[in-house]
Amino acid sequence: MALSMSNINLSYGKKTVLNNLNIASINRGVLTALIGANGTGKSSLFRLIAGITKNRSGKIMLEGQDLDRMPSQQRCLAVCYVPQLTDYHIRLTVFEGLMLALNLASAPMNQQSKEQKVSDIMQLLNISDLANQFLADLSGGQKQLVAIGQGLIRNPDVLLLDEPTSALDLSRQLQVMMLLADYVKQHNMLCIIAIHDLNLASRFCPQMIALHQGACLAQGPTPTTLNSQLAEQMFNIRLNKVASNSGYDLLDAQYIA
Amino acid sequence: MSSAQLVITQQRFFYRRQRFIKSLILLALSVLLVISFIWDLSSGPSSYGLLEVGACLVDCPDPKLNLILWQIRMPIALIAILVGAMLACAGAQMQTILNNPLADPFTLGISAAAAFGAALTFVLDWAVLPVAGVYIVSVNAFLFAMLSALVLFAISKMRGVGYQTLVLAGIALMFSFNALLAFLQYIASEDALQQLVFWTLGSLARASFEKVMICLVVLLSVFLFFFRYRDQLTALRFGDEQARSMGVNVDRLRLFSLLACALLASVAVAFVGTIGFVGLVAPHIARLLLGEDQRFFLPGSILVGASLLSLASVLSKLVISGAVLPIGITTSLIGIPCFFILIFTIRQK
Repeated sequence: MALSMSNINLSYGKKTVLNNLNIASINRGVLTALIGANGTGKSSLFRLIAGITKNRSGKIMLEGQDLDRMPSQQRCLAVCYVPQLTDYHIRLTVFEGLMLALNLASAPMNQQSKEQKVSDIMQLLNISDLANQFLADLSGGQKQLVAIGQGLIRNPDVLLLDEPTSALDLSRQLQVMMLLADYVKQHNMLCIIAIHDLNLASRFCPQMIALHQGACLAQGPTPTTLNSQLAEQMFNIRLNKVASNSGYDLLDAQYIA
Repeated sequence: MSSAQLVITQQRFFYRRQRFIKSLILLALSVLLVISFIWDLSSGPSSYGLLEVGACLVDCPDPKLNLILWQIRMPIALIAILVGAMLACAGAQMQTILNNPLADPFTLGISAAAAFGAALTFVLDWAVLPVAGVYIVSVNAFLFAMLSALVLFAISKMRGVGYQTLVLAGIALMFSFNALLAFLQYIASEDALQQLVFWTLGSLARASFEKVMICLVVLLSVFLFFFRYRDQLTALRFGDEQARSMGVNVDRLRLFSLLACALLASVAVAFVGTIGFVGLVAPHIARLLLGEDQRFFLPGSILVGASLLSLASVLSKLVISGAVLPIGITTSLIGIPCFFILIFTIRQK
């Protein structure tokens, strides 16, 4: 009973985004994939959980506590949402950017431990070599890694990552998913990742939530949840699992015309 | 020491060295400001130089010099520094909260509104607060500047208005007030027109210790507000979504910062007329020198703005011997070369 949601409705003007959404308990310590076609409300759901968008109706419970009743400062520390990659041109080094996220999140700590923490996060994400570069000069993928770092450094209880691998090269995608899986397990963190790559999702995320037209279509262990029927309904694709040498099933997708 | 530890040590060393260098740059800017201030005090149409002025600051036997120094040069030199600092601070934070490098009190119509307010007094002899006495022009300018800021404020409170819309609204305000100002100029008598043109060129000649104190109080209180929210303001430059995710109450911070900027700009413009350029360029110079961490960027912008206007004040006395040019003319002449030299030297690095 870590995180659950019931009867969530959200609309912007006349447009309904989330429609009576119910999500049963999401567990800690493992990655949870949130899948869904473009515009099904994945980011809106994240913003709701993080308290950035105030929800009109419904309840979000974290460990039996109503998140909406939590003081906003406390909620902001507990729940960290890392938005989709956005472009920015700030004249700040990577080190300073991570320090900023730490300053905004944590209780006062001495300069030495802050610097240590920033260094640790950079090492974890394998971006130590970028420490002194300006954020404005980074590539999209590098900015994405820094954004993930800015989320992790706050050491939140709930981490919501919106398409964290969308701009990364293949090797970085695998690296990041592996380290996230490890990190979440080590810190017993609750982590939901909105992701389009079903292969990455099925390999690294033991739990899955499928969002369709603003409602939860399926939820459960990934191997059973992600099946050809679901794929057809959600994405209009035919999904075949192909056994591979690495021990993971590969997903072969065909568009149904 | 393992290679990982070595990397960490190097990173820390670099980070601390950067902070140290930035502190040194702030110190250097302060020294520049002091030099410029002294230079400003020791220049003017009357032929009193550095040594005489320096001696007079301590003990002044010459009553004429005493009068010139304390009644004319000192308030002018002080108000140059304060107004430069206020305009730069307002420009820096407008660029921050609107995420736009072209934002400043000028481009968002606050100065144009002030000029229109002043023109109402000059041309139509009409005042919002007729009891304001000697401050009648300043009060009119201030009230209209605040009015335009409040219009921006109201627009930003509307649902779904992002900062791009706000910038556009500011530009629209600028053109509207400029059109109204042009109309007043069109119908103005020759006498009123001359007064109005002189006012819009910007001049420090109307400085007084009273105005210096008002500027000082406004600048200090707004600076303290901005410094209190330094990290939140820095985070805004990552974009709204990212800033929100870092726990910043973006809408509230933007509203209060906008009001604070408007207060700075209105008071400055009300006292010295429309001085452009400082608010736009000083933050860019500070950004190139110090980066965008508000710990350094905010005081840096203020020091650069103060130095620029102080140097412009000196230049305005030197261009034509025996006369003082309106400072609005010399500001750009000082600022543009500084700006370009910095752009080219830093970009080449």
